[in-house]
Amino acid sequence: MGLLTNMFTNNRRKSRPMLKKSVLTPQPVFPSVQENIQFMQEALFHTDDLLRQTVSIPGHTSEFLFMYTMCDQSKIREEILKPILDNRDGDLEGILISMRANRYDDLEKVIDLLVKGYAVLFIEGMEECFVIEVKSSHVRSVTEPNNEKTVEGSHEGFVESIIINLQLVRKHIENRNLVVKRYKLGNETKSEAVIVYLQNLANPKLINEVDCRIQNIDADNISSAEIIEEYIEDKSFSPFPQLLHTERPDRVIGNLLEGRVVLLAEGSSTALIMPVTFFAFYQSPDDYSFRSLQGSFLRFIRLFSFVISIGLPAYYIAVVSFHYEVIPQDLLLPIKRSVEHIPYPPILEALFLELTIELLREAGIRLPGPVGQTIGIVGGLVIGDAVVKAGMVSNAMIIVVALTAIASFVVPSHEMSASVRMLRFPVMVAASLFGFFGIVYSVIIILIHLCILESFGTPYFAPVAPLRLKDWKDTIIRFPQWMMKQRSNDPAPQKLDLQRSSGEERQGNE
Amino acid sequence: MSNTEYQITPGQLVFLITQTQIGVGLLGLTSKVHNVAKGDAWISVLLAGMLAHLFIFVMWCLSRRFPSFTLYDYLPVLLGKYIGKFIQFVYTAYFILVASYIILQFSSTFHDWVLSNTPRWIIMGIISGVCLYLIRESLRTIARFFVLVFFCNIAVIIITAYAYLHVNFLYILPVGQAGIWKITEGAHYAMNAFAGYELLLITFPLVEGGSAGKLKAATLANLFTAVLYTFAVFTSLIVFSPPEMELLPQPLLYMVKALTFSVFERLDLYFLSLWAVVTTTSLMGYMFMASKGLANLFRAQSNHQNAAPYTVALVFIIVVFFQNPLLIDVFGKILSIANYVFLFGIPFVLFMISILFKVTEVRGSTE
Amino acid sequence: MRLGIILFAACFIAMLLSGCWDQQLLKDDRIVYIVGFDLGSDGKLQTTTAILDVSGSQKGMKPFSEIHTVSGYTSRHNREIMDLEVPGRVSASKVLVILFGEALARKHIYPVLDVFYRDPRSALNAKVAVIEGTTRDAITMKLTGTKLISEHYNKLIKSAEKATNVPNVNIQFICSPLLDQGDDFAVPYIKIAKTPSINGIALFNGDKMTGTLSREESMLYLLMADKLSKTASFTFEVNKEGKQNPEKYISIDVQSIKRKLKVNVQGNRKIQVPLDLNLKVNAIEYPKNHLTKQILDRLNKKLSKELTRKAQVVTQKMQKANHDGFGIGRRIMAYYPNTWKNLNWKEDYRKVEFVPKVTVEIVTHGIMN
Repeated sequence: MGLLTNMFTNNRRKSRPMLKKSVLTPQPVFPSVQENIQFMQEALFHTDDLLRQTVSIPGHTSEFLFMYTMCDQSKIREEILKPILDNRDGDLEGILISMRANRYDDLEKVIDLLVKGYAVLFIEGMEECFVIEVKSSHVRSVTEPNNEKTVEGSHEGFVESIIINLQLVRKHIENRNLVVKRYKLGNETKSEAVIVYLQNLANPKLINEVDCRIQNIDADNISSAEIIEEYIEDKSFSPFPQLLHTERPDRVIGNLLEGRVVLLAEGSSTALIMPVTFFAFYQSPDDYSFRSLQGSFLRFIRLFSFVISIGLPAYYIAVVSFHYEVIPQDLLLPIKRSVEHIPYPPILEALFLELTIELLREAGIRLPGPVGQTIGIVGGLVIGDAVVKAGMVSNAMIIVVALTAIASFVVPSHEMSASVRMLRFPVMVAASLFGFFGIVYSVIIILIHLCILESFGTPYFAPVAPLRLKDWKDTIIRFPQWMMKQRSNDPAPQKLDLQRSSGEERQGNE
Repeated sequence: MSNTEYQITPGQLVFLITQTQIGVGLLGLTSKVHNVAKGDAWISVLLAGMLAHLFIFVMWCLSRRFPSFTLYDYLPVLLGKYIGKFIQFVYTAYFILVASYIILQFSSTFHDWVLSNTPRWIIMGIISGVCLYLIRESLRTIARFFVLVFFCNIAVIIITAYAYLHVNFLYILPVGQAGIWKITEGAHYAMNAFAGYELLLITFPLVEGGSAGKLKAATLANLFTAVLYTFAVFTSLIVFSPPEMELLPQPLLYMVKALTFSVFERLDLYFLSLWAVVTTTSLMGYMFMASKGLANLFRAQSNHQNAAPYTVALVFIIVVFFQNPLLIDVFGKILSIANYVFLFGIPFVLFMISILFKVTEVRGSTE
Repeated sequence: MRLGIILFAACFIAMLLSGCWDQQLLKDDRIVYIVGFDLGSDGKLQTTTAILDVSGSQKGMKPFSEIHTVSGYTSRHNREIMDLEVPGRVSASKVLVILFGEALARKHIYPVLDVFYRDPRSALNAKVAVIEGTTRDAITMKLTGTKLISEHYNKLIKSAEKATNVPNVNIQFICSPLLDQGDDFAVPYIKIAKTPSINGIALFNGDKMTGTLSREESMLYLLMADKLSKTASFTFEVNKEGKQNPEKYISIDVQSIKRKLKVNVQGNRKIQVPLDLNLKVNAIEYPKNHLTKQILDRLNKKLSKELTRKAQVVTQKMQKANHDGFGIGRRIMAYYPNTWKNLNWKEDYRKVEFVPKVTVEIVTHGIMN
């Protein structure tokens, strides 16, 4: 075994064993400005974007350091130079207060701040240094996320800044129970992440579990929420996503109010919602802006799309290569005619087309907007027509694959769409080997997997397995709001009751 | 033992028992019973259902005396270490054999109807593999899955109901034509199909709630099975004339074969696919019981999960080397008699012993 | 995790090893849509089939039938012989229509059908019909339209079913009465002149054809068997006088029927079957017009009398053919099991006394009087 591993892993470089988390010894501030600056420059390896500037505070020799790539010039003028100019005759304390400077005596800490975009002011003879926030921020405006568009309702979307994102959330839940917990993740990146939850709703066990999993991350590079996901999800090798990604504040708010926990990270506009169930991926904020009947209809369509996108190509393959008896008499002739001169077995036909569609999709994303659309049309029409004319693929197969492709893009969640597209290949192969028998058993395996899977202790396939019909009101169908008396049970919220009897009397009187 | 973390609800117990009961027997039931009881086969099935209920009651009485023990746990308490172990071994062997019988029947039916060229060991391997995947999990997950696939039974009922477009109720008249003795004999053949409620012996301590609720759950499960079986048998009886019935080993399947809709034809293929799911769950039920037994043989009160792969491997080896159809027939006959011993005989004797010697569960001896 | 890898590997290997054992690709099979059986010259069985041929490109090019005739000992034997003639594998799993030549049908049909009942792939919903003459002529016939021969027969039978001209049967439905002593079936009886046309029904006793009924009789037969389909229309001469020929006639369409069939056993042998048939009909054509109350009453009486007389003819024909199409035997088995034991149904059926009584009531007469 060892030999094989060596042969196939090409491991010539040996990584140095990772050191235990090194605790830096505090470095007191030197009394002389020069020494301090010397030290800082050494510590940052004379990086060229570290600038020093002398300022003249009356009676003191002082100089400040900042990283110009991280700082806003106008802020430096506003925050540092202006107070000094304004207080030409004032005392040092007054200047520092108007600078809103913080005192630090540990240079190691100061280095971290410097990297973040703070300016450090050293004053000759003082055992402290002063840190002033002059961070430049380039924040995108709050726009509707591209991949989660809705017809009606809120058009806000998260941005890359954690502060603004939290603001968007707090704005809608003005509640003292909304708790934010901060984490610094990544030994090298030290990026900021927060979890948000409602103290009076979210299950303490769940919070504990999430907290524990996040605390346990001990990695060098954590740069975005999606990376954190892989560290905290239950089963990384499951085809199904176990955390819901969203860029929509209204979706986050809805989930918070059901007692779920939301993770936000600096630098990514994606919020992760946990725990989630399979059906959460098939819900869209649109369902709530429609009325209940229309909303339920849309949900049905989406769940139906799941069945189609996993089952249809497999069913077609099984039918034309094993059980063509099931085709009704009148349909047999057209299908027979279309497959008559195809040289390949149906499974190859299907794989060829499915892969073509995946290629087109991938190409469409990479290419710039207008060209992307053209590729879609050119690919769809030209290739589709040409392969049929060339006799490589049958007409019926084109219909099947196109339907499947459309169905797989109905899913509101991007990750679920990807996993569904992936899952249908094994089912197709099974169908080509054993016909219906193969489909049945591959579907059983998928169902068993869904039953086994849990997301932070919540059964993934709830409320279908374990069956809880009460929760169907807001998962598979959507009841009118006033009829949803209870929160859904899957995140195990502390309070189950949602409302008493609002709106019922009016309905009863009719 | 009764770790609350892995307990199931009485509602889940209903589905567990039903799904274990309904299985491979469903298709062949009608012709087996009809051979003896003729047009009264449906009465035989009902009778068998009631008899099964009596057995369930005995099991319940026995299990109630040991509310936090499974059968395997109290066998040594009642019979002493060696005899207890022996009976435990016999039970495990019985469950393994039943599981093998299910696979054999399943593969031969599939062989006859759809996959006539595919080597049987592949079908057997697939079904065993799928079973293994599920029974490696906790009982709670198994129960969840069983609840999920319960819809297959409903679909089976719906498909069967379509046969009512062409029926002749005269075929079952006059009621009671076969005579009481023949009907009872028919019930004997139907008993086999009802087996599966012995799950109660094994899962009794793993179900939440009081014992009354458990009895209710088992009753409901058996009731559903009895109704489904009676419905299926009754429908086949009124679709086929008696002489034709004698020619058909799987009348239910044959019946749906001729149904035609504008979208679907040859419903038997869909029916078989659904039936495959139902059979697989029944197999999973037995595999679960067998692996629980196997685990307990080696270490008392241990989890079934560790023994699951060995059970499945054992069953697979048995079925691969045991494919002679005549032997399978003999095998089935032996099992149908062994049924009474394991489902009624032993539990009844144990119950008597437990009453006579006033052996019940000692509080605190559980942990 | 490790287990998962092993399972995956096992699946993968199974996939590579497999030759897809049971695969039967639709494109490779030659689909038989219609099959006819005749009694060959030397006592052999002669099979004629039309096989679907969809050559040419995917569009355009209408499909046509490739016709083969072979003879052998059994229908399976014939299929094997045919396989040698036909390029590609012959598959009978989508057969639409099975035709029997009258000569063969009068001998036996079950041995021929056995292969259809036994083969798990076969189509049990195929229509059955008897051809006056040979099926070979019926299948090789050149049609004027563009329909395939199989489609032609299929649609012909289906539309006749809708009009209650022939019973709705397929090879599965005839199997029960075929094997049952106390029940018999009938199938469409097709005549071939210039084009094939439904010419009533062929009555069977067991698996032997024993008689025929004309179109009108078969309609009445079906109504008496309580098997009204979508429509059932008769045309009768009701007026002796009338200026023009059409004025003598009335056409009625049966809207709903109520049938009462009883089996009375008196003594041990004497079996009487009163059969009350109540028809509610729609007058769909009456050129003489003026359907007033009195005229309606007169017509009702006249029609009832006429139909009762015809019903008697039907029962006589059935008894002559020994055809127990109403399942009288089954009823005796069900309600008088002791009597049944003493009966020799083959002989005794002829002695059964049918008392048909038809009452007609015109309930609507279109949108004019």
